[in-house]
Amino acid sequence: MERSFDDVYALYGGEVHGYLARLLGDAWAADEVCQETFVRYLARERELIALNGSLRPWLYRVATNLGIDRLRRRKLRKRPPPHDRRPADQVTGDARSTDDADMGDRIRTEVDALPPPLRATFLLRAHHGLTYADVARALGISERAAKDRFKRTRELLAHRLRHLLEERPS
Amino acid sequence: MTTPCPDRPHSAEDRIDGLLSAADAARYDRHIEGCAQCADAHAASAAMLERLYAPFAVEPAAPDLVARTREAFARRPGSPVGQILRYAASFAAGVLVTLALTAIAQEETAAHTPAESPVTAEPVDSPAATPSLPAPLARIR
Repeated sequence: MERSFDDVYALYGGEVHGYLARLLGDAWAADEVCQETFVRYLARERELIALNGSLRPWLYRVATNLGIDRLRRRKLRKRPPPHDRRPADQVTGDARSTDDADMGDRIRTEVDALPPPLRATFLLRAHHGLTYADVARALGISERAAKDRFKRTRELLAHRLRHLLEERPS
Repeated sequence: MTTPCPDRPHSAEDRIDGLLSAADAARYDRHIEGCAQCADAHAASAAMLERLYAPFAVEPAAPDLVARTREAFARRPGSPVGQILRYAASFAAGVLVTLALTAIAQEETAAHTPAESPVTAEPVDSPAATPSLPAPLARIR
């Protein structure tokens, strides 16, 4: 059965935007890059429908390339958020404790400080659950390199956040 | 964090992150089953990674992003709608240029055509051109 653009967007739009918002640290830049990602999808819609299961890594690959390019050009424009924008996937809403929020902010700060390729690797695997093979496809590297890069990133983050991560009861 | 025993074959983080080969993962799992100390260390590592990998909150996409995406695609070079719009724009521009050139040509034609005088000029020395003088003056002349 052929999927319409609306179906594809409903399936992947939110997660691709969430990935870009985390990668770029800016929801408005994420809007622009996400839009361009799906414009590119529309331009190749017929051939991409045939990809079926590979569409998700394809979208992540385009989003990653555009996002990293955006970060490198340093053209992120910071704009004040309108009032109607609230975190979409804020963990458990009101039940989220201050400690959790603080830890989330600290982790976000450290992830934002990573070089873009490491940041993309970490987000794709840890936050968005891509397999190493799909991470490799999304980043245009080998699976071995994707694993090495993820391990290096995890060790770096765990080292920087060790006090925060270890002092809490499990 | 619980200190793992020296016999543990691999790090818990590598096992949890799926970085071990199937054989290494099986060896690790066998060791964990029989070693309470490493099982505790494994649980602590799992909890630590769960905290590290919890996705932090981000703002949602703009509500009109789908519509904007469609519009951007329609404006994109090569898109069917974009091509139609470009053809229409080219056609309209062509019509305007043709109309403008036609108007200029008409103005130039009008400028080079001698204007017709409403009164027919008569030769200066024709009798009709010279007012008739009274007889005495006519003699002097």
